Amino acid sequence: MKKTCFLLILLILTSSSMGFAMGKMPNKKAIVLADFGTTYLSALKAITTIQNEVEKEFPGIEVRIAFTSNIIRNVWHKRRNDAIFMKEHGRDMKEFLNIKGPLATIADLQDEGYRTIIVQPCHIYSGEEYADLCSYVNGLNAIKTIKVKYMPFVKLVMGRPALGTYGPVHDYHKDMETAAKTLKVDVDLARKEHAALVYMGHGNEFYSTGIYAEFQQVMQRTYPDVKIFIGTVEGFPSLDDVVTALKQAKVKRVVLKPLMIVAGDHANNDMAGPDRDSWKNTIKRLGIQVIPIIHGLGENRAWARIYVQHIKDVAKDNDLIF
Amino acid sequence: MKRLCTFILLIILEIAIASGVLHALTIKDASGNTITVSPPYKRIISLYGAHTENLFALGLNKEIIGVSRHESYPLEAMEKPAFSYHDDAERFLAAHPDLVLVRPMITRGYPNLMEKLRRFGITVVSLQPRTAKEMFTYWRTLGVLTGREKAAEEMIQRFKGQVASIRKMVSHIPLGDRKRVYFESIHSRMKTFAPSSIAIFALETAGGINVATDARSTHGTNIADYGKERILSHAHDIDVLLAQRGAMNHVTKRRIYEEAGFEAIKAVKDHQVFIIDEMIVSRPTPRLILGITQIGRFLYPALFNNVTDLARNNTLTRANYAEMFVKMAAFPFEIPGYRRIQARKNKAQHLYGDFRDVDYNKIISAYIETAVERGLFQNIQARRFLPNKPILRRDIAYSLFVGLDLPGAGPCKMIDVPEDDPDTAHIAVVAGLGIMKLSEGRFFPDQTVTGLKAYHILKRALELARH
Repeated sequence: MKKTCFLLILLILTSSSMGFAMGKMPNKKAIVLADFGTTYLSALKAITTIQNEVEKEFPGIEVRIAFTSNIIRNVWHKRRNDAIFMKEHGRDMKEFLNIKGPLATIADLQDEGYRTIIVQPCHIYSGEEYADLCSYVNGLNAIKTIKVKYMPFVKLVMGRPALGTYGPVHDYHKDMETAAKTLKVDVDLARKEHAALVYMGHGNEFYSTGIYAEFQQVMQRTYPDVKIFIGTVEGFPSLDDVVTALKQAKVKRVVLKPLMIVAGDHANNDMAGPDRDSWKNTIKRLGIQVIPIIHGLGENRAWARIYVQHIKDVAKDNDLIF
Repeated sequence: MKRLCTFILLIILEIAIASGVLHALTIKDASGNTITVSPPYKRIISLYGAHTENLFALGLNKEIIGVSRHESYPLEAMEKPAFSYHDDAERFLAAHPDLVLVRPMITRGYPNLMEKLRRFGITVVSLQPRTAKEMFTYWRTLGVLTGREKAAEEMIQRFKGQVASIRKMVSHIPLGDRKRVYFESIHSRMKTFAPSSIAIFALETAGGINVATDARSTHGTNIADYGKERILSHAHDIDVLLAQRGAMNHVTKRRIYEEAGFEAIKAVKDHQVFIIDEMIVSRPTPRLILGITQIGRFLYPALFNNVTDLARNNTLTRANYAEMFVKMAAFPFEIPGYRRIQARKNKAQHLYGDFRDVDYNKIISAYIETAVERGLFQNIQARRFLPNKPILRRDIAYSLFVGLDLPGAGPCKMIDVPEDDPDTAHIAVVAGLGIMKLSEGRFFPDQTVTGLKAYHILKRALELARH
């Protein structure tokens, strides 16, 4: 008995003194869905719809959500101290109560033995957030251990956003055509209302956001019988550009919808808010009737399937079986 | 009580210094410092928005040489150089102020800066009233410091007069019908206001009953801890849930409606949750009257949004119509925020507070600005609202189209509104829906309307509009 104890202690001591990566490292597979995030329970549907589609397609694969917004993660973490919130939602919201950023999510997975990971950004296009996420992943992939067998990841790769990205491997024109097809439901609504369809994208002032203008043309080609316009809150095309186009097209009525995954504050304030600068009121000033639709693209299952396909594509490109 | 005592008390120890023109006074400020002051001060830097607003309200302008960052009212304040307690003392010294107005939060947090300024002979006075009563003393103190005692007295009397007329209106509400209100100050931390605070004074003046009378002030401030359990212990008694929104509370109605546990609150069940701008309920300025009025409009819309008097006008003016629309549609007052004003500043647009023909001391100004902010009036020229000009039928059609979400209408031809008239599309919908009638195919776009006619038009439009 004494001898066994001694051996056990020796084993513990030796194993703990051997540094971070010894022994056979497991290689499980996981998918990380990176979202900006939301604090509204009613807006989570946009995020969970994508999650459900991904889980359905990849049964048995670990799927985790990461929120990139620090503020939003903090709000969720504070809710852990709210006894009433925990009583009501503690169980079903567990995933969000412990939500982490992409870096920590990937690190956790690695720690738990998931060394083949696909990070799928739930972004619209290849903009600032996508670039930052790429930078995170590239940073992790820069880790080179002395012995190959101790590399933290067997494969850590990233899928492309909904409207695609640069490079010849996946033609972004095709991505746009696919995305356009998923928006049929919005076009149908506009057609039923005898209205034009106006999308409000987020955009960015630090990047060329010309892709929105290009996507508008793709949408128009796909649905030639309904007038379609796309503008952005920040960047090009602006609301002024949309207004000019609406005037030229002599539109009388529009369906107005966010071209964003989640219908949050931008949709409620910038788009459909009561002040005179909101998209709704700016368009109404022209004598055009506006029907605002406050639903995020994530709620559209067909749109959610785009990300499923992009996960499959990146897996195939890297000879991964998912 | 101790807090009350530490609040500024003008100890009238007047010591004649020279020929009776200059007086030195000894005052005890809100931070407990006994200071000798020599008013009137002519080069003032204010490091708190409420001080700035009050100085302008006293009629000062050239005497104000610096203001705090992120000022939003009045507009003139935004043209002044901005100072901060984060700045070096040298930046202040270079501006040669003779008075720097601060508040206790600043003296506590930045004692070195205060000390340096004093060492260079600058008078630093810390002021922050905690109750309505202290607010009048505070206004008087500002009057004394700036030599505007008379203006301060007028400001107090005007405010008291406005309060008295609201109290008179509210006095007709039977006690049993009074709304019980929980007033949130910081949603994420479940804080309310201290019962003696200015915000609760506003609530009670508007006829509301504060349910959190047992709340204790946090560090002697207006804010009081409460906690979710205690709020929920009143769940069945809260008729209305009111929340201030501002820099320290970025709350939305959606957030409140979704708050775990809040579904048990009567106000949440009855959709009686309202948001009010902190600048009109938490700040000791004359705009507090707008906060009181707005709370009244939330609690007792039938009383506060009554338009009977307006409907009696033979020819309705633009100002009357703005008030009638905002009241009947129950649009809450729009209060200008720093960011919004900054975003519009370079666009040659109208900015809240810049109408030279509107008296901003009167409550009607809030109805006018709200109507303009909602986009109800077109072609607003810089600095002129034309409040006494009659409202025309075309203006009404335009405002209904922009201000309300009306359903679609079939085609409608009007003999006297040509295709190229800028208002054709708006008028066609409003006439097509029968909200405004045609007479033998004519709309009479440039005709004036009576108050009663406008009332009936608005009533029909509101019935048809989507909410």
